Amino acid sequence: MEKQITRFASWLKKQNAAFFFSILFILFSLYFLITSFDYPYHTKFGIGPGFFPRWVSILAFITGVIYSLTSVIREKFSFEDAFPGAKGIGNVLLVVASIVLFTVIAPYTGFVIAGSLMLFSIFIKQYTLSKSIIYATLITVICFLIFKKAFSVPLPINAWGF
Amino acid sequence: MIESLGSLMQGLAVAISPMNILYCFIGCAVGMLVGVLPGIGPTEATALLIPLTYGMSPVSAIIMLCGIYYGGMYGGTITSVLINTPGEAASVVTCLDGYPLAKQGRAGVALKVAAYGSFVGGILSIFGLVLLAPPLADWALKFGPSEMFALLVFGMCMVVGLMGKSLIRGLVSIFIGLLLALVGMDTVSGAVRFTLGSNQLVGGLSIVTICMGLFGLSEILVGMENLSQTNKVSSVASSKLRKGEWGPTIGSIIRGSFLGFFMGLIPGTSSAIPALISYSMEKRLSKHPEKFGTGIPEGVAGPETANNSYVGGAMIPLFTLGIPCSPTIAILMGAFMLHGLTPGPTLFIENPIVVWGTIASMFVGNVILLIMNVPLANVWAKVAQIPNKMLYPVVLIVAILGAYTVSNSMFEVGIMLVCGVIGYLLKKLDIPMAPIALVFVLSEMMERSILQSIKINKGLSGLYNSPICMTLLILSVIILIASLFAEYSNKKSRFLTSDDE
Repeated sequence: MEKQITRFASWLKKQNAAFFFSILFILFSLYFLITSFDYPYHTKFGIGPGFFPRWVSILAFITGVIYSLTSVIREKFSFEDAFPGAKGIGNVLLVVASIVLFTVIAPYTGFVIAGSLMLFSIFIKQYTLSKSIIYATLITVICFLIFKKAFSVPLPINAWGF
Repeated sequence: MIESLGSLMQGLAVAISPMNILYCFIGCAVGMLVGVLPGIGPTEATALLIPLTYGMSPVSAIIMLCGIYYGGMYGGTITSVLINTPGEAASVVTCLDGYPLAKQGRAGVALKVAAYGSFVGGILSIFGLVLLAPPLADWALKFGPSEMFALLVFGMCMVVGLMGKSLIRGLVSIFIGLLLALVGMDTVSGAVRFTLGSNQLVGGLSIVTICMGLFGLSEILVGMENLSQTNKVSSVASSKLRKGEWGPTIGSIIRGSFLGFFMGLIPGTSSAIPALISYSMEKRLSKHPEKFGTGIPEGVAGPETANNSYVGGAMIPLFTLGIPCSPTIAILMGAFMLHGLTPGPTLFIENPIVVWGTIASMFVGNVILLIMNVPLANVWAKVAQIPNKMLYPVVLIVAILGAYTVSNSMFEVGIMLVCGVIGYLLKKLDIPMAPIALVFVLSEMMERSILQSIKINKGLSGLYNSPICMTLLILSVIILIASLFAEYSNKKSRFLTSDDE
């Protein structure tokens, strides 16, 4: 299994990232194109809500196809060149995961606990355990006080009011 | 002219009210801060503070947000000179002579020249704004839907033509913006489109959330890749300009003012472009071009003046045509809309207090920034020393709060995350993001104008029967062809690729 993952990773590194992105873009524009047929092109009052999306998505689709061709011919970006190494990607994924964690738990735990956990998960790789806890809690509490108290933003809170 | 000055005086009365001075000060201070910090720019900061302006009067809100924009231009200089790290893209050129000056123990000269140049450039461009905006708005009032559509197409072509190294990548960016703008209720027919059945998308996506993700979160993600950066600061030794340096410096400030102002009028440019052009122009005009890059004051004065006077020029298309020239201006346009104002020619008639109050506040803001700049340079330089491993998490939680406050919902945080990941991918693939923001705010106007044009003219005849339309459309084609030609000749400068202000 580990061997297969390593083989997949080394295969992916050499692939053309721009081409993969162009395929995603084509699918994105195709969704809009197909869905645009759900809205009338004409209505009895004139041009309908389907007119603009249909033309925009057709042009987007064409642009996507041209981009995919140019990405193969002259605008190659291999994953290896475009993206950082495993450590860098790990840091990026950590931030993404911590935001997901925050978004999921904040409505239940309240802002302060969710925010502290999110920052702690980022700080722990850079600071000691005690510093990570202190920094994460302190920054979250300061933000909470500024936004909740000073700007009256209705932040998610728990039963204890934070 | 006299009428404009009279209106400006009324605006000044609004701008110098204690509360508005306070908001202007907050905006300038935040602008300076984000200009100094390499990880965050005026675009993200403006997006971030919009939700906090909901409770304010429209004029106070716009004054504060504008302060961030031009404050950012001042702030970027300090780190360019003292630590050779531009806080924002417009200050990249300042490093070339600013940092060598600092190494010679003349950092004070570089900062003073930059501050005075920025001040003069800022003030002159505001005068240009005062003089040019009202007649241009009057002229724009004659625009029908066909002309407006052609103008928007022209603006988009300028954006795609000037930003990025590749035309096709610019077009990809444009269409991402256009497609994202289709989500939500169609303002013409009232039909709900592309919401995937989600009630939270009926109102459409928010420009604030999108920009926060595309510009803010993506910057954090890129920054998180490498957290080991530390900055060494030169001290601000006080020194004066030498005999013989005054003349060339004043000349470069005057030239930079005009250059920046007129560059600001062109949609799709960024403040980095006039700074770069000013530097090469000064080098060409200098009697000692070989000294450029070794630390001479005019190498700092010209670019710094140009990037600040750009701000005044860039406000003209927003105030008169409702067209943003840069991502920050696009967010400002979003702020106008959130406060029930429609940027464009009618703004001068319907909300003169907001327009003239904002313009007058820019005078006040420039004075505040001049005071905050040189005397506090050492303090700002200390701020720039905050390590990235502390800075980025702090910016992250503030960005999350900013996204949350858009509709007080975690849904917006999710949208910001998606946009942030998209922005990260776009950065890695060298696809410019600024067109997404610009086109996103223009899309609704574009759809409405083409539908109205078709309805009025019973077809597309409105586009080719109007001389203005034809001129703009022909110019659009020329821009695209020229851009394509430049791309294949590899003549585009790398400075033109910047998404930052």
